[in-house]
Amino acid sequence: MQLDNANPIVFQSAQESFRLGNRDQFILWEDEDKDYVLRDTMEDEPEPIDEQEVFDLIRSISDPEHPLSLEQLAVISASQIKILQNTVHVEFTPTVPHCGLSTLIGLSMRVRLLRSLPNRFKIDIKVKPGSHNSENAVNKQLNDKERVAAALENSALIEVVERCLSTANRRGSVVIESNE
Amino acid sequence: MEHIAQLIRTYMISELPSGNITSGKGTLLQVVKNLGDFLTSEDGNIRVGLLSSVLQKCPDGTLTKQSAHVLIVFYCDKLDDIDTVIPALKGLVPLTNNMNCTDQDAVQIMQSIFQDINMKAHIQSNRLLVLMIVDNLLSRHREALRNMKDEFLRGYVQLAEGEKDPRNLMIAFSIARIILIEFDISSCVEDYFDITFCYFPISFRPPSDDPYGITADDLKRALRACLCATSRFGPLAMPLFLEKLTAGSGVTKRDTMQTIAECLPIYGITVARNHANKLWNTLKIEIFQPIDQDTANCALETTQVLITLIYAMKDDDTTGGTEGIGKEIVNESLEYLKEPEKSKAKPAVKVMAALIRTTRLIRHFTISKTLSCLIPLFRDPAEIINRPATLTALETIIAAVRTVFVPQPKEEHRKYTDERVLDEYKDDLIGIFTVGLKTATTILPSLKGLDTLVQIPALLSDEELGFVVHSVNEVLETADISSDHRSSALGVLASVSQFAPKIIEDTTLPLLFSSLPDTAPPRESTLEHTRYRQILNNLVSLCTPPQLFETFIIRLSTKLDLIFSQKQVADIEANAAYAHYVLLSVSKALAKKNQMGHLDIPKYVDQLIPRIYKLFIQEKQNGTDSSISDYSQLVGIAGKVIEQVIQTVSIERQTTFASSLFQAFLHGQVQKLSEQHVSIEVPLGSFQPFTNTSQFKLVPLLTCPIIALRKEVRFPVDNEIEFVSKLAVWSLDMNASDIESLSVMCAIASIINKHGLSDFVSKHTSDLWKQYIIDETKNIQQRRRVILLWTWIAKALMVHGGTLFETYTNQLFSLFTDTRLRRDAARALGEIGKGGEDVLTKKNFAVIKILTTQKYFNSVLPRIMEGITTNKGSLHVPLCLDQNLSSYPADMEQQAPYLIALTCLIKFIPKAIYAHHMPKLLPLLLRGLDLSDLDLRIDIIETLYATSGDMNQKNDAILSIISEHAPRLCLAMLKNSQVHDQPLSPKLRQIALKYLGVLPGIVRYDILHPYKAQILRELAKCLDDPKRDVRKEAVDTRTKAGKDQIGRNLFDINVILKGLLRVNIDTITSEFEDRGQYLVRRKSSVPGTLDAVLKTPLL
Repeated sequence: MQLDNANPIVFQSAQESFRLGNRDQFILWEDEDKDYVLRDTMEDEPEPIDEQEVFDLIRSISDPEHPLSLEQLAVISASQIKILQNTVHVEFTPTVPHCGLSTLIGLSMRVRLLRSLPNRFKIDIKVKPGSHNSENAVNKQLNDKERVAAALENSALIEVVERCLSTANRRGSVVIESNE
Repeated sequence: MEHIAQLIRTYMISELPSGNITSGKGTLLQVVKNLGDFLTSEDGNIRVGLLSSVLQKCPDGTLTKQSAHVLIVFYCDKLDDIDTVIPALKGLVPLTNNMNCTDQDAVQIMQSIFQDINMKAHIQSNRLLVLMIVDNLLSRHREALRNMKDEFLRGYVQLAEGEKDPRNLMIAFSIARIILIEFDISSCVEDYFDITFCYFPISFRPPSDDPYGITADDLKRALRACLCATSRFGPLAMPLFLEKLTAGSGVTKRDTMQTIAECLPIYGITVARNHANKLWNTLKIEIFQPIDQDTANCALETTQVLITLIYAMKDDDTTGGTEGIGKEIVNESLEYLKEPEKSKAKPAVKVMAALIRTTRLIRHFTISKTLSCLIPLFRDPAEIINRPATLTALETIIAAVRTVFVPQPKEEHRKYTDERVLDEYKDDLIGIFTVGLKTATTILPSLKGLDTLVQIPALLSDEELGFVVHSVNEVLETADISSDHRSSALGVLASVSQFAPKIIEDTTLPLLFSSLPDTAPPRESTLEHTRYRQILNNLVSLCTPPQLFETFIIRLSTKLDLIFSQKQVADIEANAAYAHYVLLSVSKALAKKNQMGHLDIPKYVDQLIPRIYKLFIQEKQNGTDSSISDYSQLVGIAGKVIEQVIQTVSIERQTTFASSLFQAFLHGQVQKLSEQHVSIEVPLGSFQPFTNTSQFKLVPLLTCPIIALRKEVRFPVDNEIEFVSKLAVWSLDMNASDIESLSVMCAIASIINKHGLSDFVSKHTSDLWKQYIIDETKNIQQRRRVILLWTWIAKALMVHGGTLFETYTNQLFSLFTDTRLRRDAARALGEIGKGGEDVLTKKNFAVIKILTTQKYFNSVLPRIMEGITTNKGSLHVPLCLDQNLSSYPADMEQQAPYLIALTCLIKFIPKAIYAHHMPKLLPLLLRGLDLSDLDLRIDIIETLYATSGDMNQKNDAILSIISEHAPRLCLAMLKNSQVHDQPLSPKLRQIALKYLGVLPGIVRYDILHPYKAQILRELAKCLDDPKRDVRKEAVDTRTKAGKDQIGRNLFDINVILKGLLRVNIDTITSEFEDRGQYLVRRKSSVPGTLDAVLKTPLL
């Protein structure tokens, strides 16, 4: 099979999570019951869904062509996600402008987000302007509810999507490979 | 005679086994004679059967050569008769194993079998008999069979052809291996190739209830042993392997590659060379476009075997030795390495690493090619952006070199000094990696590279190591607190400290120690606090080698002196916390050393311990209102450090130490604790910790070392019981803080455990019980403390073995009627199951019998079960989600303490002890989930998670009980995962979701299917939980719960609709309508899918 991009550039992943959350709250006396103390103090603070969390949801989706994540191929990055009230905007960059799998990548992200975000969110997925030959067509296809629904009834297609999503729960953590 | 005749008749009528005959009451001859008429019977089984079953049981040696021969001839004759062939074979199996069966007999048997047996006409068990006969003969008469030459070889092929049963194949494979190795098969190589390779690759999958226990792996291993038994197979096998490699699935490919790796060294260099190119072309695909990592690793290993074999002979040859496949592979991979940032570079580096692990010649060639490609790349200004990738590639290469030269305990390893393969490049490498330390993006790969580099033995000189350490120190100075850089940098330094501690001591340690402040930073500047903690942690990780540890102790005790000497500080508590962390670090380092078995700890009894006593005791003398030693956490950790040191010293030293310790604390003679260099001076009689409330805070400094004293060390007190009773009274004194009180109780437990003190146990405690517990007017806090004391005494008795603890548990059970204390008593019962924790341990010389936790569990469990059932209400978990949680039936209150005790108990004891009680326990635990106590519910779900989460060791009883209660469990979890229905506890919601996520994996699909829609709908709510960790768990659980039997997500249509139509659907009806409309519109186009959707239960 001829691949669209046989040897793509691999980028270094961001750190696993650069969020310095409440966990690092300072306590004067270092104690074993740290978790217990924190639990009570943290309780009432809500943590709204933010860009980093959405990024964590989709960063480890696999590329359909390579055993690499979308983050490693720089298809998506944290800065390409915006949340405005109840709308999530995701912008992604195909590795090559003629990438025929852009719609599949977009579809995988949409399915992942639909399954994982509360349904008050509207999800808007677009190709980065100027990064794809048929940008409009891809955008249209990805945000057309009828077409997406139809795509998800195609069992062959949903199987491919599931395969891409099978790694999504890693959320950026790297699987240790045995070198020996 | 009569007797035997009788038995024979019995046998013929009933076909009972003929055991009696074999017990020596008759001779075989008699049997044959008596068979008489039966020997001419029409029924073949009768004619031959008895004799065979007698023979099977005959002990070796009952047969003479003569009789064996006669029998063998007899049986061989019977082989051509369809009626007698089976019993005849049965008779031959024991005969062939008999030592009196001669070579001639063996040949005759084989000839008869070849002539008369048509394997295809027999069932499996009979074919097995034939194979067993061959196997027996092969192991006893190999030479005779070898002399049969082609007759045997071809004959056996006839027998083995077409065998399909795995049981027979196991034995057939082992026969084939012997023949292939021991016999000259040149005339029929192809036949043997056919009867072995026809099974490759094995795709056997044993049935789930296979009683024979033969796995696919057994067969694979046995077959592989055949395939690699002779080099003659080589030319025939390789094309077949190559074909399987291109066509097969992942499993087949891996199997094939592993088989090739095993066979190639046998097939030899010529075969390897002839097929090298084709093989590499196939392996290449697996490496550069891998299906999965395992397959790629197999391919790499096979490549390694191939190259090692081809170049094995060329190590001494220096001219043009690399020509050939090895060179081609290197050049090919080198192309990819020129762009290290691209995805193909990673497998290319792995190929290089594999080649480095082959022969010396190829190793040198690969390293020189790779490094002279990567090093200029790093220096090329146009490639600066790709430096991280270049460094990672370099690191992988060096790591491969390290694996070659690092000393391995078992194998004989190569010495780096024999080859010095990296010397030429080491200046470049050190240069590159240290340059990499200067830029943020390249720090991590550079540190990793340096770490690998310093670990190659004898590569770097001391100066070079010094330079590396110096550069890494700079990173340490500038790196942010708790950044990845810092921990990686420490990793490098720790590696260096293993074999060159001096360098670390001279450069890194001063740097770290000088960054420690002399006084605690103000409590608001949390960054400063985190910083000194980080530095102390770094020191702990570096300073375990004895030489460094000494410096560590000296510097830190000086630091403690400084902290303690400051009288006029703004924030005493911050200072105390600082001192606490310093001592905590000492304690951590001691624990690490203890674990590593270091022997230098005892000497600190003279160096460190007096200084600690001096600090605290003199501090107390100053009489100021608030002093640093008032903070009981600080005193507690100091006691812990003393305990850790005292644990390691000899009995004699412990005895003298105990004497001075008691003198100081009981009689105020503090100077007894002084040592050579440290003298503790206080006015006589001014130190009275047991009468002076302020000085009482130092009691942990007495009780902690008591815990560590050996059983043989006698206390220098007149009356031990009086002493312990005094301790007991002190421990209940409400002026003492919880930490002090607990430390006294631990000492009491330790003394009771080691010295018995039956009088105290039987009499004195019952007085205390009357005084505090029976009298309900006493302070509730005080009474709780008694329960704690009881817990510790019970623990001491429990781990000691015996049943004395029952008095105490009975007393605790009796509190279940006391409304104010019953929860504490219940928790205490669970707590006892936890055992001696870190107090009553082997290290502290406690008397510990085995299986005591189990005995405790068995003694308490029936009582708890009984308590639950006699206070039984309706055992019912509401199946409806909106039922109010807080309204229990009244009888729940009676049951509650038993449920609490149960939960606490199984929380603390090992899973193995309660696992087989799970069927009984599960309904009770479910009931406990109805209690309002959040922590209890967390404990219960954690227990459930622990029992069913780990399904590696499948336990059918647990599985079936979980399946039975699965719907209830699901709904209970859902209820506990909703944020609105209950008091807030993210931890509860999180663990409930986590457990819910486990269920679909362990419960049969059809059990949960009816609840699926509801589960998914409820989980959708959790996606909007205010807490991030809970949402994360909800997402994962929802993914697992949404899958159908074959792992596909079924809820897409539903979710997609909601998402895409952007309808805020709140009620079931509107959603239904919505779905309906959608379905109507789509109906004409895809009816098949719609049916499936309609069948999914609606919410």
